[in-house]
Amino acid sequence: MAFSFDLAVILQRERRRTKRRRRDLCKSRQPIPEIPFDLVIEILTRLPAKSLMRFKSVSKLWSSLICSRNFTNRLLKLSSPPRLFMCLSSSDNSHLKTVLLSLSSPPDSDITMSSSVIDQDLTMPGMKGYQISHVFRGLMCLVKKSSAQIYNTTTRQLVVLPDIEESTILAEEHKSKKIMYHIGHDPVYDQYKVVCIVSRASDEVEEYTFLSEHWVLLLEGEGSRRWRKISCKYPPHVPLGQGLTLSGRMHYLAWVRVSDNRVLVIFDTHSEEFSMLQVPGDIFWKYNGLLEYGGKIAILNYTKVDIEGVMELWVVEDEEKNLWSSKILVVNPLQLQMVNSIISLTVLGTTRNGEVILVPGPEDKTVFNILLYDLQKNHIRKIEIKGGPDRYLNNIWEVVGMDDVENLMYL
Amino acid sequence: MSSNKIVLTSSDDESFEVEEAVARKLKVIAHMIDDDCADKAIPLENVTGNILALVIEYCKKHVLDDVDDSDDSTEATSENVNEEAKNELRTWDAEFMKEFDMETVMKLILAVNYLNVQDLLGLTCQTVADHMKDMSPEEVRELFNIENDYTPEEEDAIRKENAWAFEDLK
Repeated sequence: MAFSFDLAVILQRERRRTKRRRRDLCKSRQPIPEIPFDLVIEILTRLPAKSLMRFKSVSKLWSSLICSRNFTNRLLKLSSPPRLFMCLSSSDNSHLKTVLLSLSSPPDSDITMSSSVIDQDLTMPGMKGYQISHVFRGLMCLVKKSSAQIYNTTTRQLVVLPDIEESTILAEEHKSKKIMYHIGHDPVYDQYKVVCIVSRASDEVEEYTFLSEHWVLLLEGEGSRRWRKISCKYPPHVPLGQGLTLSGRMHYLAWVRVSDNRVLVIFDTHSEEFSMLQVPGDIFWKYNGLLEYGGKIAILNYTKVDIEGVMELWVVEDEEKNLWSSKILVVNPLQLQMVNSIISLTVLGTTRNGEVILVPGPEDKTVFNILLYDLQKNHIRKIEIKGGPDRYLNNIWEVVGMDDVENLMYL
Repeated sequence: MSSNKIVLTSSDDESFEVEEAVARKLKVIAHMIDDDCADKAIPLENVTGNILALVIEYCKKHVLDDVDDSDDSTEATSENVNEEAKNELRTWDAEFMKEFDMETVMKLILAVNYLNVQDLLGLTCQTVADHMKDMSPEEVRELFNIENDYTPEEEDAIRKENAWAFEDLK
């Protein structure tokens, strides 16, 4: 017992001593010691993007640090929670107004119903009339006819891209022109590139073929931004829907001939070379989208879901050999109603933990929810979109992207 | 766990006798122990007694961080216990840091960087970041003793470019 008393006395003394020390420390009002710059960097990497944007005006050194590639890359690795981006369009006195909103990520859970909250309005004045075509690593591509802008959702910087002046197809007055812009990243040189594919139906009516051009723009270096035409040894093609970037390669579905089987086009952002894979014949072209499945490119075919209650997943197992595997997913009958309550679905992408994001298609813009489909667990959950002011809830809306990166890159 | 005692001496000649396991949390000391250079008191020229006492207090609390639990209980149970212990430590860390003013935290950062206690460096840096995240550029300059090298026009241009980041400033 004596021992425990002694220990208690010692501990009490130690506590008193520590408290006294702390009082002494807090009393002394010497100037704050100067912190070496490498430790300042350690502190800055722990700040939210908004603070960093504000602190660019602290000094020129801080500004150049915050804009430097090393620093922005370091923050990229500390990626933020995923965000959903949503676009609202409303006709206001015959003007089409677009509002870009950011939503908090829905919580990871097995429950079939949860919500995502609108928490930021990211609209900028220069966005008027533009549509969001692609979101990648915190960068968003906005398109209006043949014009494009890149918007950094973290820094709120909006940059207008130069016109593709040398394009023959864009110069023509042709009604079937199709333009797809896509942001990619070259992991070898750590460069961001914008790819533009311009296509139209060829004049050979019986052939049902296309003409296409491929252009690349390096996003770095404001003064030297210009489009370069790149050659493609494969037949001209027209992209169907938006692409998906995975491991420095951009993938998109395309047609080489109208109503023919589709092809999967792969563009290597580093070498700037194309390759083309034949898509298995029994994938109906309209209702499916590209997604990432276990680090591989896959296509989810959901045309039979309302009739047979099944979805089909096609995975590219080997690009060199054009080898695909397929898997039938029988949707849980209790969750089938959630899927069937939506007229048409669109695959938006895959979340960080492998859930496929299914959003209502263009015909369904009054339904204020999205679906997350965990292919591994074969579990679907509905995410209701909440928390926006009432003025948001009466509009035509569209979830335009999902991203889990805060990118401080200066455009 | 080894019960060897290591004596650490601060720059103002205050001595601290600590368990080897606690001393090893200071990577600079761990290397000295491994090189058999810790048989007598180790002088720490860059750290005062007041600050060293705080570092030791932290290390005593976190001494088991790097030790694997060799428990026979089921994985799920030990995972829950681990999670509980981690949460408890997080709460303790928050309380520990709450007591200090910025001057002390800055002194701690310098000491911890010199002594190489990575997790405490992270904690102190996060504390400063949390403290400054809602500050104005002027307040940050004052905190870090930075001279404003912008002309008024340059500063105005940067503020305009990032106007949204200044919206919620008190």
